[in-house]
Amino acid sequence: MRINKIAPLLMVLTVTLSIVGITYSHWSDTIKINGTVKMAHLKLTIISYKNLTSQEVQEYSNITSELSPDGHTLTLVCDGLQPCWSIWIGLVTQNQGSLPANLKPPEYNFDDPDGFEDYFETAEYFYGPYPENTGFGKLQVWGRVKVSEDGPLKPDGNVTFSTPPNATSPPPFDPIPVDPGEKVVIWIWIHVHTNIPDDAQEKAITMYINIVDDAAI
Amino acid sequence: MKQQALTLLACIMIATSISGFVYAQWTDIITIKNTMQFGRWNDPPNMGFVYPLTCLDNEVTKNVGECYCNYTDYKIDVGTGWDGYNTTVIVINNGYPGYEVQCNFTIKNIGTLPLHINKTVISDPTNALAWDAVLSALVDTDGKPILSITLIPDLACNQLSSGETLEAEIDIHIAQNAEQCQTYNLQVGIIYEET
Repeated sequence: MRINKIAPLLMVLTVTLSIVGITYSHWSDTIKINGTVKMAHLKLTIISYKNLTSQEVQEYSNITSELSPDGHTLTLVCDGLQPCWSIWIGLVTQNQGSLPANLKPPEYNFDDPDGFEDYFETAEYFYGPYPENTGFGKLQVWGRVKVSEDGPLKPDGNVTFSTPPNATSPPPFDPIPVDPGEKVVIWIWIHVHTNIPDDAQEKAITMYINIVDDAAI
Repeated sequence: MKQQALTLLACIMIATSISGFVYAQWTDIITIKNTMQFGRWNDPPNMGFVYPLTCLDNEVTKNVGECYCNYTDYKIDVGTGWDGYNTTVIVINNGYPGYEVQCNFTIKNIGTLPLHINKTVISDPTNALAWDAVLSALVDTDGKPILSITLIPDLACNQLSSGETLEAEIDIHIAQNAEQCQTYNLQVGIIYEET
């Protein structure tokens, strides 16, 4: 008797609830905003490089260089270091990213168990930015460049390019803004002080030159 | 005693009937004419995006990032003949941390029934990011904000009668934790119902 009373009640409740559900779903709806955000990327790369030195240095020192696959680091291995040893490193960098970048002075790291790092000095000269379609042959500061007392790259660290550099380091130095596709040439002079110990001649030193960029926005 | 009570009762009845008559004599009818238009029971509530729609960014000097917006999923309400769109599409290309896009859109009740916006639900349809209501941002798995999203005004609890429009804006800000070369997705669902 009691079950007979409860059963219809439950049925009524079930039917009511199902109707309410249908009604609700029928009378509500959604409109949407769909967004897609594709992020840019920053990529300043070394696309070409040179290491040049004077004939005198070439006679007593071996220098090998290798560019990392990502084009961010140039590795130099040098031996036979003596007082006044010097080398000029040329880098053609290009902004291959999609964001404007600021080119800053390179960072130098040494793999140097004997602590010769302190006897090095550097100077940087920046030329550009050049438009994307400027070929290597049209870079005035790149083709047929040699180290010579007559220039354009002097062993003492001076340059005689007719095009003045955009900026030099040490400070004051303002980062060079480089738009996507544009190129900048960097000439780096690396020099060994006169007080380097004599035992440096028998050892090799590895130097890493990293280009440094930052978003220019 | 009984007779007295009967008399009193009779007097009350007479007085009541007379007052009713008098009241009836002094009343009149004022006619208020009004037109009521009822929604059709079979029509679902219908809200859509309508123009104007604009999209702008926070770049002043350089044009690096790009933003586009448009409406899709066209629809027309049978009851009213008004049209609108079901979806707003916002595309940001070449975005970077600090880049911000403001999209101004308009929603309209294109149906016959009054509507109430229940809530807005912000999510990443790919589930790569999760919504953090406190930060008001889509965050990565470490809880770091990637896309800050703001709706102005808060659309929830707004009521729109038939034909009424509401202008709003969505601001999308790319946070510092956003990664290069990535593609991020977002979806804002505006859930409404008939009031």
